[in-house]
Amino acid sequence: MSEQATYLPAFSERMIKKHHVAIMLLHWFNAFVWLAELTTGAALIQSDRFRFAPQWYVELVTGVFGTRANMLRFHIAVGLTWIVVLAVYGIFGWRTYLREEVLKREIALDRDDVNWLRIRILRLLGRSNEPLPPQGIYNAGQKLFALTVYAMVPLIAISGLIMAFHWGPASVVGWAVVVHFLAVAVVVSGLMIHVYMGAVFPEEKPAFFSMITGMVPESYAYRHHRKWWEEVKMLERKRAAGELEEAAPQASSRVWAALRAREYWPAYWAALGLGLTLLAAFLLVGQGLGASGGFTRYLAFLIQLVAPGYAASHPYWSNYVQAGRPVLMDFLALELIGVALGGLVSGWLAGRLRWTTDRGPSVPVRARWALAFAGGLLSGFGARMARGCTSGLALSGGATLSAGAFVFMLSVFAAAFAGAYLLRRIWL
Amino acid sequence: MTATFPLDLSGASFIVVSLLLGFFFGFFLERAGFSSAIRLTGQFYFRDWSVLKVMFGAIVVAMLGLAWLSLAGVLDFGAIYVPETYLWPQLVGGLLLGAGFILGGYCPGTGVVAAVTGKLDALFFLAGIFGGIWIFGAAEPALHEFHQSGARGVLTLPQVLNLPAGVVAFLVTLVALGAFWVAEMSESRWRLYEKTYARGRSGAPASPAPSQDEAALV
Repeated sequence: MSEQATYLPAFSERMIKKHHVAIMLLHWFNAFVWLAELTTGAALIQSDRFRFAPQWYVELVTGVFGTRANMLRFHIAVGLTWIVVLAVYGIFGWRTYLREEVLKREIALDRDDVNWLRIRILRLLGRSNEPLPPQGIYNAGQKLFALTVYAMVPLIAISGLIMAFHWGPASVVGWAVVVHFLAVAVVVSGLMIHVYMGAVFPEEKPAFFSMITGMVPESYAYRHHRKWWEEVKMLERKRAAGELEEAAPQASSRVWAALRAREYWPAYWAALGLGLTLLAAFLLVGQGLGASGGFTRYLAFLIQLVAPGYAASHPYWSNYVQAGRPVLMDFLALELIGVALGGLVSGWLAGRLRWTTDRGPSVPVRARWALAFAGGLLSGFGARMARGCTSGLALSGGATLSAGAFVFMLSVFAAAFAGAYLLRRIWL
Repeated sequence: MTATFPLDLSGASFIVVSLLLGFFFGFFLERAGFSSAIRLTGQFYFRDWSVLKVMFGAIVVAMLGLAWLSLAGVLDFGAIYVPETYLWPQLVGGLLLGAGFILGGYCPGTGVVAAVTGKLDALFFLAGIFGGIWIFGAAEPALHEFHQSGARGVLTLPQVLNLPAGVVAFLVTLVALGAFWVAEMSESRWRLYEKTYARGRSGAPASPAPSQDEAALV
């Protein structure tokens, strides 16, 4: 049996796996953190030596958060979350993430890499046409960027903590400000190239999509990352020949399998998770979960932005728009962002993200959209009338045995069952 | 008595905790399959009872947790926010939301989860919600009297039934278990019916099952 003939014909279209989903999640989490921290950080700088953002920018960004103090709080909250997430990756992923991924693949420069850098620079200057040496899963430029980032991240984190909590005397805090700024500046200079290569440079398109799908075309791996391609081939050959022992299943793999399962979870497991989340909400913030209250906050925020006078004097909106308290500094408004992220991550892990329209077999797409909009109008109106929706009133009120919540729950089910009979043409 | 909970968070920790709680809320809603209008509305055609199971299940878990923790003195139940009762607006609001649910296929929270997983209809539903809230807010001065009618303040089932809270929690748990039993019976009947008579006419979405390649993609 010829080994080569088995894979060569499908060479160009075949996709091979490059990134683990945990790495992709970390990547996009980092992207979000850097975007949020750079946006707010630029507006937070007070020292004349470092301030570069124009006044209008500072006012615009501060305006979103209401006050500078709130913006600082947000900056610190995101930064702390970032440190915790990195620490969790480092501790729990010590073997798979730190040792295998970071030390062996992301930052270890070998002789080929040094040559690659030399030739790459000479070629950019038009002084050489030597072919580039073969590269591993990351090329030398990427490794250099990774090295810089890994060197700067501890500096940024520690100086940030010193600044946030005023650890030590004023001189230490003063130095922390300088270190924080300079370390970020170093990363940003590399980040510009990173974002340019990933998002704009046409030849690196597959690298960009690999951060979404985890896969790259085999032809791309062959051309740009030859040494890694050879590794993958070697593994595949060994596996085909049965030489590779399957790794013994670990205890954590069952949890992982459940997270990656394409089927929905059994309702009772989801109920347990949801119930514990609801209980945690009561314990940590003293109120239950909700959804429509958060929507109302965002709407009130928009109304305030467009017509501050109207919002402040209107008998209903003024409940939400109070002087000195930013509209969005509210549990339900913040929680709603989390809901979107949680749904996204869950759908992603299970491979359920795709653009579709959920509809009954006999309803055209556009009609379904119109019906959904009409249903949304009724739901939004009804939720505000009742002072809560299925989450905020029925679920959270139900758990606290509020009488109104049970009245609401019964009327929701009554109307939905009656409506289901009348509207059976939509769904059946 | 010094109960530890609820915490009184502020500043950065409040933001982080709020985001995390929302994250798990959205995560479990998606895991339950509530990003699908077909699955959600399946409840009202007695085909898929996960709406009832998840909602009642979560209520019972949180309710029993609250009850035990306040019995143990860890939690001060008096400091927990209990939604106030406004009888008539909650009755009418519930009817409207129920009608919106069956017409639009989602409720506000599930609509968010559906939209982020790529359901285009959910985007229209969310737009509708903003519209509905806006209309209500603008019209509230005119509806104010009705919006305040039937006000009973913080009213709980133990007060209404004049029973100790523990007994009511026990009764609610029993009702929930009964509902789960009905749900399982109904679902197994439906599966049998589908198998015998109505194969292929189950109201399942027309989209084909994802191929192997697609499955490997993410």
